[in-house]
Amino acid sequence: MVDVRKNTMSSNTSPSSVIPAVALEDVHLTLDGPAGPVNILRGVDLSVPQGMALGVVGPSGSGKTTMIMIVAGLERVSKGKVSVAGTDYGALDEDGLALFRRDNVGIVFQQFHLIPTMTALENVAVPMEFAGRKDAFDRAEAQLKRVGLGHRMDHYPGQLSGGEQQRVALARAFGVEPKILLADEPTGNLDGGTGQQIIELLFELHDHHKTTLVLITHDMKLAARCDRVVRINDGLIAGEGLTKAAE
Amino acid sequence: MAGLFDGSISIRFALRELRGGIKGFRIFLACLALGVAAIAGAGSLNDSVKAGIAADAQPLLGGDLQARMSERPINATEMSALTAAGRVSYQIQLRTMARAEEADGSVRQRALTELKAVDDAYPLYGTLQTEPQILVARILEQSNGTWGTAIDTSLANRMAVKVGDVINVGEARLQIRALIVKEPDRVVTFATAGPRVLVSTAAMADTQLMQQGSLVSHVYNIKVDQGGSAERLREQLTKNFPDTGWRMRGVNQAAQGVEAFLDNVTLFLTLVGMTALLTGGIGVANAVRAYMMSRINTIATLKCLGAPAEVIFRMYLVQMSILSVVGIGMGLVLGAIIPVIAGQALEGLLPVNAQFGVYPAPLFKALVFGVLTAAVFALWPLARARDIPPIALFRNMLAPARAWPRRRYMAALVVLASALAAYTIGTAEQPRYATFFVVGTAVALMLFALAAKGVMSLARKLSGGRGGAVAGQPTLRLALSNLYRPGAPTTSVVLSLGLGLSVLVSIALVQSNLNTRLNEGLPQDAPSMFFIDIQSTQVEQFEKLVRAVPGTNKVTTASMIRGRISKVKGVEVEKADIDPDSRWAVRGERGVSQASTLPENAKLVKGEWWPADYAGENLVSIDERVAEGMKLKIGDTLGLSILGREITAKVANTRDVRWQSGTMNFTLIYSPAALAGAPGMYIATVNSDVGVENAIENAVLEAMPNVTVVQVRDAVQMLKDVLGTLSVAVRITAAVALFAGALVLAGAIAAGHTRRIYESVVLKVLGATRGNVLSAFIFEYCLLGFATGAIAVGVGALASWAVVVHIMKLQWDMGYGLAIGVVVVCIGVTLLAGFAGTWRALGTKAAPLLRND
Repeated sequence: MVDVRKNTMSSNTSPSSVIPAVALEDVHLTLDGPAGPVNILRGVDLSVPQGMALGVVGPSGSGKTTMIMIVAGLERVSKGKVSVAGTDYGALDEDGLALFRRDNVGIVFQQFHLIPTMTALENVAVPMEFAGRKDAFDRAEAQLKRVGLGHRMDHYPGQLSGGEQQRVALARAFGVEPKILLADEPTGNLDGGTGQQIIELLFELHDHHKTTLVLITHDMKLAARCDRVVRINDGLIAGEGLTKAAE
Repeated sequence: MAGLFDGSISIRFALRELRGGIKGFRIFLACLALGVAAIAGAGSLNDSVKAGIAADAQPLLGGDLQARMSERPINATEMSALTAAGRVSYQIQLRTMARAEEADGSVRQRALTELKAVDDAYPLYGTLQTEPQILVARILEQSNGTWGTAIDTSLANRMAVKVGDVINVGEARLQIRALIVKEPDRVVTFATAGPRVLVSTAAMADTQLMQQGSLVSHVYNIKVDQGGSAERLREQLTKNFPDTGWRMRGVNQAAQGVEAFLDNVTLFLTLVGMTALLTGGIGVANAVRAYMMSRINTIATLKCLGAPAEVIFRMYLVQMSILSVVGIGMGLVLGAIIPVIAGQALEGLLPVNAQFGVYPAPLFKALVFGVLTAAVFALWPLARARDIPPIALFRNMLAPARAWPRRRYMAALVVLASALAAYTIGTAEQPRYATFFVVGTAVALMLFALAAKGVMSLARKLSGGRGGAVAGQPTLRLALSNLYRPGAPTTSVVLSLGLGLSVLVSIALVQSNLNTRLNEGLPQDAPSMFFIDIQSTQVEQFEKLVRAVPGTNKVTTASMIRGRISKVKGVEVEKADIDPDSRWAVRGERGVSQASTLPENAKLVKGEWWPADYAGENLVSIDERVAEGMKLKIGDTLGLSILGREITAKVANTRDVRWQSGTMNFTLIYSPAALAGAPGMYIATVNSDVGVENAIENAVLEAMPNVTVVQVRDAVQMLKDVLGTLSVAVRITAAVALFAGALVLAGAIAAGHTRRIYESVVLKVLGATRGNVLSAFIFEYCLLGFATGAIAVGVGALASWAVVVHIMKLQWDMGYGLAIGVVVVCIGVTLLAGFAGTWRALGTKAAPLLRND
């Protein structure tokens, strides 16, 4: 089970000779809303060592997804410092972030976000093609077979079930062998059985590739499978701790 | 479930849905309004001008009835028949040269003019407006031995003369006493050769222009006495004087040339309007389809809650009907206003006074076109939406389950489309051209649809995953896949933009071919000058005079007699079976010639030429194409009426006449003895070096003031000017169809806006830079623009080839510069429309779109 105790064990307290996969320092994000500025994140500090699986929990609207968007380089912080795999995001422009993402970050969304005009195989190959890999299609095929979709390679997203689409999304995310995989409630749109299969696959791939995993979930059981869990509340890390899985 | 209340439920639900506003239907409304406005506007303009003609019919004709004779005036018996019926005004009309001379008698300026001599009764209706305004009799009377004249202002400007100056026409000196502001019975058309010189009939003797065989018309306008009827008079005259050979016109034919021209213009405008409406129809279909796709959840929910498919169909049918009424209404209002606004701009440019106002008939016609078009194009997507299954709520569906609507809707579609075609043909003034249009458009639409399918399948083949031509180029593959994905705008853009563009391409190509033929088409051996009205006694002197001018290369003279083809194989021409393409040859009088030897430039096709000393029975040589149109074979007979005398001749041979060679040609050439005794005159062509034309003209006209000259260069220039003016007007009009296409393009691209933003964001998440996304969009629009432009050029070129080769019988060249230009412009327009719709997609922040909602 998860034991999340406030500040009992800050993940950035133990210095490591190894560069952390994710390092957030006093990260603030303020957005302009119709009724004035809204403070989404109010000073988040977080360090995730390489290869760790980090679960992120918290109520809706607490800032979980925003934090993952910042780690992905899809959202700029208002204040603070973001480093991923040793790269300071502050030094990169939008295209620089895109290229960094291409080589280092995989993302899996609750709503899959596949390109509807491309087949499963093409969807998986896209990031590898952007990276200029000659073996993009061979690797894409291997990834699809690995997630059990060898027979669906030429299907369009519209022709696949929700579970199949999420498996394509997983294959796509792992295709470039990212250093960090970000998953935002990847089973939120799936039934229990299918969701379970996806989670098994996610962790299997994480183990296999030794990828750092940041997983947002409402499911405490699922969070418990991670090495560490942080709880976010009202834009702040409200607590964190190791799980039994990590012990 | 279907019951009495279904209708009211459908209406209630439809109105409820429409509360959300009509924001998504701007293109729908614009497409319908534009097409309907174009058709209504063209019809209203036509009716306005025709109403103007009808209101001024008597002044325009010059009387209640007009009898026209060629070459000879009517005799005393015929004249007394006219005067018994009412008041008669006599006119003589001919083309001739006017001269302005210096004090020493040398000619300062010459101009080809239309001379009209009138008697004291002129005008029977209306008023001759002059500057200064003086009585006609005062203007034209002889004073101090000099006859008076009124001339067009344009002629006064060209010859640098003013009121009080003297000009010479033929052998007569005429003092300009006034400038013509408006002639009540003159309708200026493109066929008008020159400015007016108005004189008294009494002055004609002094001009000495009335020689035997001269190209002169004698016109008798009759103002029928009270209680009399012009129609009855016409019948009596035709019955009592069957051999006089006069051509009669009543008030309903007052401005025949203008009306025919107007009908052609209206037909063209209506067909362009139809093209715009059909193009707009594609926009309507797109808008309805996009709307129905956005309503999938609503439809599925309603079905889950127990709504039968028929109620769903009716509900959206009601919505589309309401929107159509709004769009068509907007078009009708616009169409009714167009002629009033255009009237202000056209004031003074139209040959007659138009009566601008609201004319219900053309508005009704446009209304029917609008309703049928909206129905044809909206039915398909509506019928498909009817079959959206309730399960759609729970699936991420890209399209309804059924690709084709049910059979009854297909049948309704066929009926509506046929009704649209039948209405187009049935309401056209020239059903033949309307039929060509309907068939041509159907073929063009099919070609476009096929071409679009081809483009899509090529794109699919090229982009095909691993090993495809674009493997490793995800942006290019994205661009290609956007061309063939389900719901891609390719077909609608190719159809709509392509249709408008191909109309423009075909018009531009026809015009450029005409221009090329005008510029280069005149062969080296084409003459530089034409002379008419040379008397037989002057021929020898004429040739001598011309040859004496250095730079003259060749002089060709031929006798010309005017006659009307009266019988074909013994059958009256009115009853003879003659192809429409050859009817021109029997309409009115033609110049015919006689020759003992085959003229140069002529090529015998069938039969043999008669011996040089032939003196046997009457033989005739005829233009091969006309012979074909009249179904004449060698040995058949042809009747020619010359001044009421009928000459029958056997067809001896047929010739291939190259009219575009510019050399002297005749449809009919008779054996020498056949036309003996018939009054005629000579015409001549002169080939000369460039720059000596004026010297030749001066030499001839100084000695023979009765001769009329036309310089080919001037005539060609005039033709070019007319064509230039026409082509600008035609292109502006055709641009309406293109505008409709651009509207559809904008609509199609706007419909994909959300999808593009989404794609752009997902690509960025996967590591695409803005440059990558931008190049994907550029590729897509370039490919779409290129494909559409190329197909439009192909179809437009095909249409122009058919017109130039088969209708105009001219050589056709492909305008490659134009083709490349059109493709480049098409790519530019598509890129522009694309970026206007998607630029925002590039800068869209990813995070808000990717959050779980």
